[in-house]
Amino acid sequence: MSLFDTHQEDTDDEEENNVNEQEQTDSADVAFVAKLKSSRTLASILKTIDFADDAIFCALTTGVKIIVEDKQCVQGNAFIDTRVFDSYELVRQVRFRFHLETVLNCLNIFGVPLDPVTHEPLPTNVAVQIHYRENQTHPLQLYLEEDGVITECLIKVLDDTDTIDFDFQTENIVSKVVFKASGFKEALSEIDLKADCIELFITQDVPHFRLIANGCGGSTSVDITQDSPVMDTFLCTEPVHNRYKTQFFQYILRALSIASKLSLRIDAAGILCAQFLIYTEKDKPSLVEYFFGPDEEVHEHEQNTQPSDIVLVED
Amino acid sequence: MTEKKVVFVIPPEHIRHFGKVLQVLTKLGEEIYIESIAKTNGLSFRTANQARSSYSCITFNRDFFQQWPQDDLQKEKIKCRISAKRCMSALHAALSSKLTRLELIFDDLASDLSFILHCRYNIIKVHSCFYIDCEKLQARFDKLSYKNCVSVMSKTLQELTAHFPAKWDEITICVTKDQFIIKKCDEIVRDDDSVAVGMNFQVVCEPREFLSYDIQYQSDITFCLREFKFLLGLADLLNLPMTMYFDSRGRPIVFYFDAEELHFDGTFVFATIANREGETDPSISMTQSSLNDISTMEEDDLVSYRQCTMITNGTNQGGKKRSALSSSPTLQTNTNPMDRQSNFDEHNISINPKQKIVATTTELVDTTYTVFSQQSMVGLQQSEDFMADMTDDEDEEN
Repeated sequence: MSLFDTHQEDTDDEEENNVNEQEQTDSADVAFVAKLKSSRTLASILKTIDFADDAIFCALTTGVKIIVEDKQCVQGNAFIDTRVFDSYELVRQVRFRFHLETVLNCLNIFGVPLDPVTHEPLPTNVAVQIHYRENQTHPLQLYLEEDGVITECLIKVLDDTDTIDFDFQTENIVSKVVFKASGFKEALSEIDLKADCIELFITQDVPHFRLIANGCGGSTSVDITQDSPVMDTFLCTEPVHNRYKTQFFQYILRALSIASKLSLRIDAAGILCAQFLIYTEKDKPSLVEYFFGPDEEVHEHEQNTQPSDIVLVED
Repeated sequence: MTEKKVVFVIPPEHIRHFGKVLQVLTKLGEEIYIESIAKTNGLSFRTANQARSSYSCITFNRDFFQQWPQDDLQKEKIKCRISAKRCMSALHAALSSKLTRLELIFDDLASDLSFILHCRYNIIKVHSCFYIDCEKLQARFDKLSYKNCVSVMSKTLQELTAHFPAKWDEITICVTKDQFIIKKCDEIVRDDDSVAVGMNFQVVCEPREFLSYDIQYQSDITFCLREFKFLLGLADLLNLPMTMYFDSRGRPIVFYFDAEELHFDGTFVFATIANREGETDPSISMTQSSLNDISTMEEDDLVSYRQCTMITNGTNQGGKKRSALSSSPTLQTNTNPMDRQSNFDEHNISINPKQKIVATTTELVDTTYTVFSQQSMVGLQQSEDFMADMTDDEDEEN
């Protein structure tokens, strides 16, 4: 099934044939091909984790995983399930590093129309195909098409690097709170983001959930109680009182605008895992998660390789 | 102030008014002075701009609030100031979401004022800012002493001035018994000291536009447009009769409104230019009349005025101030013929900087105020009871 079936001109068909032919001749090298009817899906998810220059791209059997790290103790992961894609062909699992901003610019190459009222990006009918050949000297190929106009983007990939393992103790979670994204966004809307850090309090007594930002000249705080309709789930085994850098909450705000649910989990070490459930056009949701380390308790994370089942075959 | 927390609660129907009205105040000054008035059972919010050429005061009565401090406010006097910026962000939060309740809590121990916003979905937001105990901010003016008093619906006034662009510095009103003209006159001073008139823009109104029109003195006064526009921003919220008190040049113009059903009132005092000057030349041209204006003000008053504006603990000059006020009405009549003359002679005013410099150093103790194109005639005084209060506090401490 070709995504380029919106146009009927011969010239475009020829172009497509050329591309297909090229694919067939080099098919032995092709490791990964994915197609999406709307590039907006991928672009909006990538935008939420756009806080560093480079990102790691992993094509797995379950879907695509993109990892972004900021040296100041934050890691952002985006999972896009295979069922979100219109077509997903994986020959070999791949993993490489790429420049995130460049890929985002390419995905938005036909422009980003904004809703005049909400200033949110409107959906477009720009289709995208991602091709990647095994050999890392070959660039990452992105083909974007809108109304018969095709743009081919060739992006150099970089060497893979290790990613931080936050060692998030899923079996040792101290607290877990699930919010509705729109309500939580409203709660965070007036918090002072110029403060250095934000304190998080989670207790079993009222107020159950509290965020405090201490700025100069005063402070702003938000309290959400357990019976609030904004809070779906509340679990707290021990009282939590941690400080996190304010910019982390800016990332959270960014992801909240496209998410439908947010889950915050804190483990015994104070590491905060924020997961966002994002529904795009398909029924299968995508997931974006952040790991934040607490402030003033910076651990020296071990530089482990990602404990996943990816094996990069180097010839 | 006491150890307890002083709590004021505003019901949801009044929150919007509270927020909008205070937002105007935050634009008019850098700090908001809050004071509880025991006599009339009210809470007042005041501000003055940096140049001290405008003063604003909004007083909320007891009935505006759902909950008022239990104890008598005589014992728990509130007299403090907070940063307008922090207040603005708290008010912005209060206005942007639907609140079920807004609480103002003055915590004396921590010296902070908290705005507690009860939002929907059981979310509570708290904005707190530090406050500094200070003396009262009070402008010296007497509404009854003005010769001209005009009352108009604030929305009408807003419509009349809507197309005056905010980037213009000043606005002039020329008032006679038959006409009320709002205008802006562009004067360009050329090198040879001749004055050319640029674009003229005016709105002419008849007395029947106004609710009341009592003019006994032909006026031609100029004041700051920017602050006036902020004030008229309130007109969107409340279309109320606004009363204007004014007479001669140099005397401040007073705007007053009383929202009885909403239980608050507001007073805005703007300084007016003492004499017309060229648009491009920021210096003041001092004619003899305005010189007399200032020279008859007692020097002590000006000294205390300067001290007050630095917000230091100065000594009370209460007694002397009273006499200055009583002398001002007679002052105005002396300058009347001079002012009228200047009205017709507007194109030929020559600006003599030398004259200005001489005048200011001898007659005006503080030359800093003449640098601004508006002469600030708004006097600020210490509270009459300041000395008394100070001794009270000391007694309490002892």
